[in-house]
Amino acid sequence: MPSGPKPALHAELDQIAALQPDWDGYGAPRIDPAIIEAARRFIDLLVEEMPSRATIVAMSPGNLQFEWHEGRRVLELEFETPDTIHYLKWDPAEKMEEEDVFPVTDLGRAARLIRWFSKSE
Amino acid sequence: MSAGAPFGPPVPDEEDLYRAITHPSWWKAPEGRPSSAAFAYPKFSVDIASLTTAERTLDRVRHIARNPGLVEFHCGAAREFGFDSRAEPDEKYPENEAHAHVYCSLGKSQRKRRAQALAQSCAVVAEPAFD
Repeated sequence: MPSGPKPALHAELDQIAALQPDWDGYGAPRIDPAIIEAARRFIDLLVEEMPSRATIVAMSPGNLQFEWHEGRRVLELEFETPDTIHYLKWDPAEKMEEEDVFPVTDLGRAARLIRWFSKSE
Repeated sequence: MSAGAPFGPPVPDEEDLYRAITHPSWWKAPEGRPSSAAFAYPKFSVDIASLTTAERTLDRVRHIARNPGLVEFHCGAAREFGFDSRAEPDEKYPENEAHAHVYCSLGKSQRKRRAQALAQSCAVVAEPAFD
């Protein structure tokens, strides 16, 4: 039987994939199925790096992001497209406000970002 | 999601603005604040607090979530983050005279930072209770 965060993250993605148009009450479209699939692959490849409290957040343009929060410290990995991640590293205590875009295929960079957040735990 | 150009008059800096939290993933319960996902767009809808009530704003989205949340932020502070609010009608609810659009014209390279700053500046008016 699978254990750890992987089944829960896939279940969150199932819920997000099922959202209907106007799911936010502000006219949002459905979440792009190609982005859902990219996020599934991301989970399967990087789940060992993920702190358990990652959440997956639906976004009104039809995409999604992974989020980690610890007080005001935040990491966001936003799938802007099926091929690109736009990230935010945010920590007011360290005056850290960094964002950039990288290819989904750069798993090493994604893993480093997740480890940056995990060090705070 | 095209923003288009602002066309309405600027909302005065001293106003407070309501944004409904309509999806569970937009609410970070342990932190007691919204996700930046509620704000990370070139254009989004708000209500001007002085022209409505919290209940009226919440009632308008109860068909989406039975117990939605509501947060407010200061118009002038948001403008300093790069979010310009304009009093403009809501295409979906034209009877809502409190409606405004918030425009963020900053480039993609600053979008997430600004949205996070706005999310962390919000005060909670009503915590959501999602099923």
